Amino acid sequence: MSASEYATAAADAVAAVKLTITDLHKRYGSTVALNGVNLTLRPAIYGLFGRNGAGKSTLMGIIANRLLPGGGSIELDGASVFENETAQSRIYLLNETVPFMVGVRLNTIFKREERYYGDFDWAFSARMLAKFGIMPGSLYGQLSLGQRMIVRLVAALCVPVDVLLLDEPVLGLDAANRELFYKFLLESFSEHPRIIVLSTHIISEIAHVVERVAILDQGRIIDEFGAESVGSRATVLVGESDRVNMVIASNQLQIIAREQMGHLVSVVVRGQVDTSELPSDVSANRLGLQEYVIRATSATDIQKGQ
Amino acid sequence: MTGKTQGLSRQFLLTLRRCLTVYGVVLAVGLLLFVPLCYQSVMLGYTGSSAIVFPGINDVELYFRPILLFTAMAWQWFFFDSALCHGVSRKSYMKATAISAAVVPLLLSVLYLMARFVVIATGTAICYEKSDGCRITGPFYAHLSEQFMYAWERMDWNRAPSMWEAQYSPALPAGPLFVGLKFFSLMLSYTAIGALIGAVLAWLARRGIWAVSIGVVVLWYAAQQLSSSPSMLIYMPKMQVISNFYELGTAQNRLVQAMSGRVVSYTADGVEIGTYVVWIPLAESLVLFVLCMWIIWMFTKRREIHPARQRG
Amino acid sequence: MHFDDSSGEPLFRQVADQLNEAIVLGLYKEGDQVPSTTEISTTYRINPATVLKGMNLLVERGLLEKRRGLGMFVAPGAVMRARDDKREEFLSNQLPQFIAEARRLGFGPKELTELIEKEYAS
Repeated sequence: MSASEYATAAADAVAAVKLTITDLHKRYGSTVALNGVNLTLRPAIYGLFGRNGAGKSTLMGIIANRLLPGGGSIELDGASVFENETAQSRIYLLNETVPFMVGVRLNTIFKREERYYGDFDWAFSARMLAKFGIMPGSLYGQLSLGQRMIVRLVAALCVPVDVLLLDEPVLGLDAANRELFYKFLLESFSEHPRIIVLSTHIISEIAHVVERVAILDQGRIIDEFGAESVGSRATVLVGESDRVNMVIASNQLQIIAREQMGHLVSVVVRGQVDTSELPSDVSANRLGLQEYVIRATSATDIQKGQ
Repeated sequence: MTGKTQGLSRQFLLTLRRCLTVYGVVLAVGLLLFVPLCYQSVMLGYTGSSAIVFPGINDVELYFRPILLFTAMAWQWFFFDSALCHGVSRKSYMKATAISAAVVPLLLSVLYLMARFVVIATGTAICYEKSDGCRITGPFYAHLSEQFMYAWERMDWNRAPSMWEAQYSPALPAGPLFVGLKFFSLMLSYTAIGALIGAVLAWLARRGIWAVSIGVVVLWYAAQQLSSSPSMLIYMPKMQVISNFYELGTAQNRLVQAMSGRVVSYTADGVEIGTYVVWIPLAESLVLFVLCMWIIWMFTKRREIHPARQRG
Repeated sequence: MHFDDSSGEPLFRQVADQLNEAIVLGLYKEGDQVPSTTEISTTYRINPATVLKGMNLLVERGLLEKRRGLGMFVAPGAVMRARDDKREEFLSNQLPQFIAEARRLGFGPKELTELIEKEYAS
């Protein structure tokens, strides 16, 4: 095969990886954690955002077979992932559960990952540890909390899986280390495109890192889009209450969230608004990714649709 | 790279290996400590009847029972998370649990028989006389499985204990086999019970620190009670005359007989004859094993690993 | 290079603009290899898909060319084309905005021309 044919074939092979979540339900006693989640993931870096308790950790836990679903299905390339070791050997979840005892050496941790996942990128891990300033021969228990997180991140990036789930990966990391992590994440993704799902509350930092965004609110996916097009997902209209209401009514806009301060009201509506048709006393602005996520998910507190 | 070899997945094999290693390490340490203890008892002259007075020094059973129990418990409680976080399914974890819980006692029994053979052949502690091979004059002074050496023997228990001597039965050459089987059934039972306790404690731990603490306290209390009550004497070593347990002819006594494999029958002139029947405890332990594994599976297939609810 | 979330300009377009600027300034000469998608991605912490989109935009405009197995290179005649693109942009965006603002502030065309000439002289 020529180089170009090889590249095309590789791209096809990568494109074939698909994780399909259909109508997923989960409850803990009387609390509903997931209320019908539908999502299809393909090789890309995804940002999974939502309020605390929205169900992000639960969703990732179920994909990784650590939690049991209450209903619905999750399929990796057509095969269910539940209790399926072949599928689970292609899935890796990193959250605050530490699946080993603290008195082990870093090498032992990495070797175990290598055994269970079939391979391990030792060169990459050595390079990352060096950049982060962690001695490869250290004992996990001797490291600070931030360093321990880094070690586990390094392991997560070095296993040859097709689905990498990172649940709050940068918790406890200082700003410099966070930047370093994002760089390595992007490098790893460039080398080995795969499905990577990043769940974090520091949205603004990864706005450029992620390719697609999924927002989970109250157990459902309320929006899924390309990170770039966040500007077209919603618009915030600011102006006098009656004027704004008029604009919304005449354009049949769908309200996402609403804030009122006296006569002045600030309404987030779905989609884009043609600014040329706006009256001069109502302003329209785009939202950045973090702002949009906040507004879209805070609407649960404020009365919707008014 | 699916990692399957003839239907056995990589994860299953790795988990099985890990489980066996855990048992292996603990037992190796146990054995290392056991040998000097035995030697010490030999040197200090604790042989024969003295062994009754100082139980547990060269009492293999008493020594290894808690080791197997706690190892099985630890595996069930503490190693589940690690398995699942590496892509192992609950089913594979359970299979590894069950296989280990059967294989380890089996291997230990084989080792025990081999060691016993060596010990007898070299004429240490157990033997009184070395003539005619090594006969234990006071088999009923040895630990429980040793008593099965004389299975199928019919002992007249009306005679004073000091006058008890085994008559060789045609089955004597197979005596060690019975000993081994009884030993295996004991070890199997303890391993199965240990695994079950581990599964229950893990389930309680999921429910909170209070639940598991109460659970541990309850278990400790139950263990204390059992070890002092007559029912526990079923598994206690050393000679125990069946008639010591409740009155002969009562239901409780029959239960004790049934559970321990020591059966009493009567001759025409009312002489009590005691017989050791090994297949009774063996069958019991197998049933117990299957039952425990089934219950553990009920727990395991619903077991989840939850992320911490509080985020610091 | 600097990338901004609040400017309203899609990120891939910002990538394209920055590369465009670099070519105009002569930082990358014709025939030079520009940094790979991975390099730009990791250096500026931008998703590689976005970077690729921006670069492909420049390929469409004829400023970059893809050489299989080697990477992205500045196309022949790119500097000229890039400068032309920038002039186009100036004429269609900045100039009208400038004129509109000047008009708003009350400057007449003759007054403006004088001021412009004075500015050029200094």
